[in-house]
Amino acid sequence: MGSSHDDRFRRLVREHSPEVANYLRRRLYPLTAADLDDLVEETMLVVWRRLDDVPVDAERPWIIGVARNVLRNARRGQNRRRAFEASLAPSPNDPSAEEYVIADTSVREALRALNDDDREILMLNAWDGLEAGELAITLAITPNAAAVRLSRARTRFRDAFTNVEIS
Amino acid sequence: MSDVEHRLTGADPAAALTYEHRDADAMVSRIIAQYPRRRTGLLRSFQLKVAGSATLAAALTVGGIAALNGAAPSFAVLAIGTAPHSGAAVPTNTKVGGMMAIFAQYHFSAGDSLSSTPATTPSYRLHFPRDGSAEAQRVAAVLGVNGVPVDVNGDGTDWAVTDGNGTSVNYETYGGVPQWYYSTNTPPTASTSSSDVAGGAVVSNQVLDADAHRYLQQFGYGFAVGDPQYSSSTVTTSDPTTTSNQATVSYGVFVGGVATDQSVTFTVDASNQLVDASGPAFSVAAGTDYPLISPTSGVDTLNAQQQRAFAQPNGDQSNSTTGTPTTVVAPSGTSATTPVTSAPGSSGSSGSNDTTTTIVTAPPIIDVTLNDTSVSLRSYAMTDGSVWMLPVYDYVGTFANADGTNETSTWSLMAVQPAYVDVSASTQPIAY
Repeated sequence: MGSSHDDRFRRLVREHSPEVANYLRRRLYPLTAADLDDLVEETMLVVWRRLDDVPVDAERPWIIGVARNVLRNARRGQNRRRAFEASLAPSPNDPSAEEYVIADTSVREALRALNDDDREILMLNAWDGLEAGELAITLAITPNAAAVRLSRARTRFRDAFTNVEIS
Repeated sequence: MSDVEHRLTGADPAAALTYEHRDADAMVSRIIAQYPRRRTGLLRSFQLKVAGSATLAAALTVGGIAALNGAAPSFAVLAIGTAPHSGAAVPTNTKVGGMMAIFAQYHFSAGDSLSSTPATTPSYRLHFPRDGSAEAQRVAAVLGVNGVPVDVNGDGTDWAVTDGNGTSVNYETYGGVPQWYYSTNTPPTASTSSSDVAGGAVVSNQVLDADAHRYLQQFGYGFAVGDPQYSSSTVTTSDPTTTSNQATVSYGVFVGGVATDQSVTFTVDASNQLVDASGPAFSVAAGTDYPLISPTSGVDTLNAQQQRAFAQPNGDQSNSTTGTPTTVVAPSGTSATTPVTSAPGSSGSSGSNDTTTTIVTAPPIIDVTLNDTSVSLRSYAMTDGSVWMLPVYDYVGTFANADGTNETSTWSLMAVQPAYVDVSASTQPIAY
């Protein structure tokens, strides 16, 4: 039994680490390669400890739900570390701003006009590839609520985008 | 997919990025070796803290299972299953051998103004409508939506009432306090009056507040709401092209005069047509006076949580290889310190039997003075399916950043004495 758990965990790490990493990279900046590895490891640590709770047919949204919590804690820590390291010289290994800037200015400004909840569910759908049923698992809400909120977010984004383009 | 959605999808900043952990095999081996799959009190405590329920962890780690000596307890033990609105602000940092220290560990001190007298806020069992379908239809009718409730998931927990215009009311009973949501597909209307502000008229706060209270009275749940919070936004549609102002009023829900984790919101367009609304569906009877801890003793509990969060996997409080506790204390006048690496041992990628020689990096310790606290009520689901609102201390503390600026933050802790709380492992995926 232990071996099958270990094997399943190894498979989850292999299959979902890239998705977790991209989820984190889209939302946390700056993020060195070492920091990213550590956040992925923290996410997978929780997956290991909750392995029996990971739904077989919804592994990806469940694991991204874990990453969301890891991200929240990382943001708190990052704010304080940023202040602490403000006087330090930038490392040549730090990612360049261009790697993380949303190049499409209209999209960027439209996203900025949304509230946090709208922005998050929109990004989870458009960039992390989660559909309504999967969003429900990640956000711990019903599929219907996820569909309703996604629909609202899309509407508000379209309106904000149009507003940006006009101006 | 529309052009707009194509633009959004195409703007993914990580689309061209690949990822490979620097040593995935070592990571997996390290995790499996250091955290064997067995149920222990420490493991359960960790699960609860990672689940965002640090307040529950306080009860578990301080008091454990309730068992009063002597006379039988006057109050039934609260067996908590999940905390749908735990919202604890205590950072749930973890420390695993070999991980870079990118979080902070807090050390809390009680300010002079913190009280050593426990609050007397009661706990409340919440009562919900028995028939979800009937309640969904009733709420929808209040909001002007007439239709037949549809069982969305086929399990009787979520109902939707939709009229012929696509306006809908959803009534959800999934985990915790039932919530209702109103939404409409009708395009917002704009006023044509030349005297209006750009985007059309804005419904006055007075009208908004009066209408909201009328709805609340018709709902009849009986809970109180706090002062209105107003906001407005401008919505632009492209086909046809209209610009309309929308006004929103939000209220915190109060029980027994104490703020809760619930809120009610109404949004209307320029013609005062309801656009969006949501709120909880519950009522309460008389409260139960579960004994509470004092705010000052809660500070000790917060510190104990921090120490456990940064303890070694085998339960040691040390962060070095020698087993001797080492605490990094920020120099006077500063808060953040350079992360300390313990005496060199084998690397974190070593074998599965070498937990005592793993290099651990300690996070900077930040001294926080907790100057103020208030009491609020948070909702918790019990293992018997009931939902209670329990008192929570919300501490406010200040600390100094390395650049000399001060920062204020909040930390929350369940105030019910641990002897009266029995915490089970969370059954939900990790969530807020």
